[in-house]
Amino acid sequence: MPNWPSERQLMGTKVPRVDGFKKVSGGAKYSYDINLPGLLYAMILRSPYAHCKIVSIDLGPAESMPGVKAVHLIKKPGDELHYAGDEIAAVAAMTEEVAEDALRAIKVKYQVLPHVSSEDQALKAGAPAARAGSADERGEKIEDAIKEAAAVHEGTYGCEVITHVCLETHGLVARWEGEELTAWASTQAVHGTGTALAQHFKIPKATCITNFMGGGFGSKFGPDIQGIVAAELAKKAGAPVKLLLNRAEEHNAAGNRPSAFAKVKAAVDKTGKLIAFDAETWGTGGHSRGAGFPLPYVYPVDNRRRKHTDCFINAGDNRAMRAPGHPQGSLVMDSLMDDLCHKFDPKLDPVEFRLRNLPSTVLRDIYTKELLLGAARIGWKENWHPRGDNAPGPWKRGLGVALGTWGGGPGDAQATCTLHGDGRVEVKCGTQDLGTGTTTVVPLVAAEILGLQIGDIAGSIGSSAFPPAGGSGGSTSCGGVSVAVAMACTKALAELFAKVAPKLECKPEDLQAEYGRVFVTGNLERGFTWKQACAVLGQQPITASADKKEGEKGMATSTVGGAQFADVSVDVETGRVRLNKIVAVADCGLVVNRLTCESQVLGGVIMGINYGLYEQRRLDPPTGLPVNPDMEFYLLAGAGDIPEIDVVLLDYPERGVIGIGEPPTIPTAAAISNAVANAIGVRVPVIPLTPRRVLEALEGKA
Amino acid sequence: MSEESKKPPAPSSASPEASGRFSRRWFLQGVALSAGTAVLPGEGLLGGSAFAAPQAPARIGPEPVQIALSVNGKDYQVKVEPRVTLLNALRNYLNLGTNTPIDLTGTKRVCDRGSCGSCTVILDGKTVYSCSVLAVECQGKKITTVEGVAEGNQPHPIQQAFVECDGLMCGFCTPGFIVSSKALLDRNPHPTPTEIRRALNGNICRCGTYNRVFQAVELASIRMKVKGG
Repeated sequence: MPNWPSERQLMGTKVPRVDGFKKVSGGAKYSYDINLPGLLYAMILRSPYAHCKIVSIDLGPAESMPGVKAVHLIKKPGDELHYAGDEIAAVAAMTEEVAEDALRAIKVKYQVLPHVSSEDQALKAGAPAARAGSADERGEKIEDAIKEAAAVHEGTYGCEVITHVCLETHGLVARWEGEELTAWASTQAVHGTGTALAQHFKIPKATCITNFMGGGFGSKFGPDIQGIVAAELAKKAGAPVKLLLNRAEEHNAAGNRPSAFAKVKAAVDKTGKLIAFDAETWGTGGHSRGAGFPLPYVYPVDNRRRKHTDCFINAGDNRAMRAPGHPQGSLVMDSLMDDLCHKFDPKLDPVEFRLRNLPSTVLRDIYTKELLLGAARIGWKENWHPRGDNAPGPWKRGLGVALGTWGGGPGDAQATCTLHGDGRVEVKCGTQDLGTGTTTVVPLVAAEILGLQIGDIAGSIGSSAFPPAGGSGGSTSCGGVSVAVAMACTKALAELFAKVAPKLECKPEDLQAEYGRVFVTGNLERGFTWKQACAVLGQQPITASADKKEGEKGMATSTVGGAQFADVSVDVETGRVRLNKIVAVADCGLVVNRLTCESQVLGGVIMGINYGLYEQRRLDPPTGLPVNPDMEFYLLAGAGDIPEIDVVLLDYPERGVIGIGEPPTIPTAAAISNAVANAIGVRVPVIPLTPRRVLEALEGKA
Repeated sequence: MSEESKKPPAPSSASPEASGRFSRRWFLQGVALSAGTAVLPGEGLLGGSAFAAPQAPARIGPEPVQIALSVNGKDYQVKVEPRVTLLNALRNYLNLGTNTPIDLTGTKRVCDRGSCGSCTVILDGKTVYSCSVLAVECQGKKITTVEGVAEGNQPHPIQQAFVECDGLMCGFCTPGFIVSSKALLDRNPHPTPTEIRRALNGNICRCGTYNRVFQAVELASIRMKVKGG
């Protein structure tokens, strides 16, 4: 069975990104930066109402404007528009300014329809907008268990809708050359996007290129409406078209994380073990998508019941967002666990309470290690106190903890490795780099297998012209890509050994490649430099291909767990929450690049901080219009809001490679919420924990 | 209008405060404008080379006007409508109509409303959000973009430090952070951690790299000190 080299020179070390200098110098060309000769700029006209019907539409005035090169109708008269931002029509013009004028010139008559803009409205009796979703009931003794419980707690918890806020917005640049379509797309899936475009236009192939990508977080897996429209406009105009959304469109039409609310009753027995769980949950994922999330979460409970309702409102639809459903599940469950612990025994340490309720799976051992390690790093023993900080003055300090879990596993990936007679090594894989560091993972893994330095490898990703790889979602890229690259390089190396062995009068299996040399194992002198070895290939390079399936077992794994701790101070006079420190212990398996792996964890934590304290998509109830589709009133943490963040990688090389994109963003908000409850003595039930909500909780109004 | 505001500003006074007092009158006095005939967008945007002698037309625009921009030490002639921001002029107009396209797309458009800092450039020594400055306001001023931060082929210490500390992930906010950090080190070579945070508070990173950005600025500062900065 294939496995990673037992001694590794590069994997697990800190390797700066190979494309770092391009990113710090402006040399990195993102899809947004693609400027082609004759490029046209496209924009989309969108619904100005939360809910309406198109009565009539006249594109004529836009079409006849100087500088406008193509118009395209997306909806027709009679069509319903489901949210403010729903697409109507698009134009392509010689400048953005003209395109903007052309949108204004389009004449549309609307019939305004009644709208629903909140979960509460959707849930009101008689409203057509809510739909009972899944009901899940297991165990027969919920009522009995609750009756006999040592402690029962009932609470309501919730999370608001947030949006991805990818800094590079969704969209692409489309260019036709005859029947051939090339798209420079801001996408998490070059192959998926290329295939979807080809299917739409019924052409054999469309090439999708993503050399650099400005964030996706789960929301960018296909061409979307705007990508199709850009290609349609490019076809009509006979010129390349750039269509990337503006900031408001990005908030309204490019996905969001659904809200999640839960009314939960739960009970523990006299040993402090969870024995019953009864929940009603609801949330909104937009006008046509649900708001499901896992619950109960992490902590197992035999007797449980859950009824879920999806609230359909006149807002843009959700899309996968970094660990879809899990941050919501974590917030609800870990808030509940803390409240239950407090009810059971106010003096019981919540870390101890969690240790008693861990699942009896592979994760038990991992969570235990993480809880003990994290508690030590945050100073839990020294600083934890029962709920409510009695210190004088308005600032109250508290500690909190929460857990998260994720599946992951190695995603689909194929790779090729080509060894040239002059020693050059080319490795290709049709994956993409979202900022995660995949561009560096490819040459890093190849160099490890071939015994070279990272600079010796020419790695290429970010094009559907390269061997197929899946979309970068679910924290699956690093596992799949690193295994596929390792297997391709291993195969190429075996072929090279077969050609070099006769020259060294040994068997191919006696050879090894390390330190930039190919030599007989145990005798570094009896061998060649890499260049000399490759010279035997002459003009006939070796190309080997591999699929991650050839090596995934043992080289990559799924099912991960993480623990996070928060240390906060809360001003009980103003309701302001200040973070002192976050500790994130991440289940990393075999770390590929320690530098970028730590960055991923850091980034996950900061996204969790945003979720817990700042972010909320707001709709105006009377009009249903988005209030903050910008970066001014849609709050994100800035430099001054960031605490010390202690990232701890729980090395576990024997588990193989684990993708780390999603897990670290799951428990942050719950850990912060628990720390706030620990500081001020009461639960602030809904995140973000705004000053107003903190004050309301203190006044008992929450 | 006060007497003072009638005077053209000295280049060194072009701080955000000064540009906030921007007055059209002294702008018109001090700026050379093209003949201002109605030109179809895109039609020979650099054609005619009609860079007329200074004059005071009644108004500028809405037609495109020819202006000169000094970016990273080079002068560029561009023809833009007065409503075009400096950001869009850099990204979309510098390369129009020339045989040798100039590709200055390092400056990023993210919020387009002066909230996120991704479009930060240095204008006469002060950082500005280029999405919130009109291109026509920038004539006669020195503009430094992320492409102009490196010293020749040598990366600036701040760029080196960002790469080493991994002060970036997707990299889309990075040009703004680099420019803000460089401007900070230019005016305060050895900032305290609090000063670093304050200086970078106008830049938003969504991937969440802040802590490593702070490290990078500190590292660059130390290295510049060692070099005698």
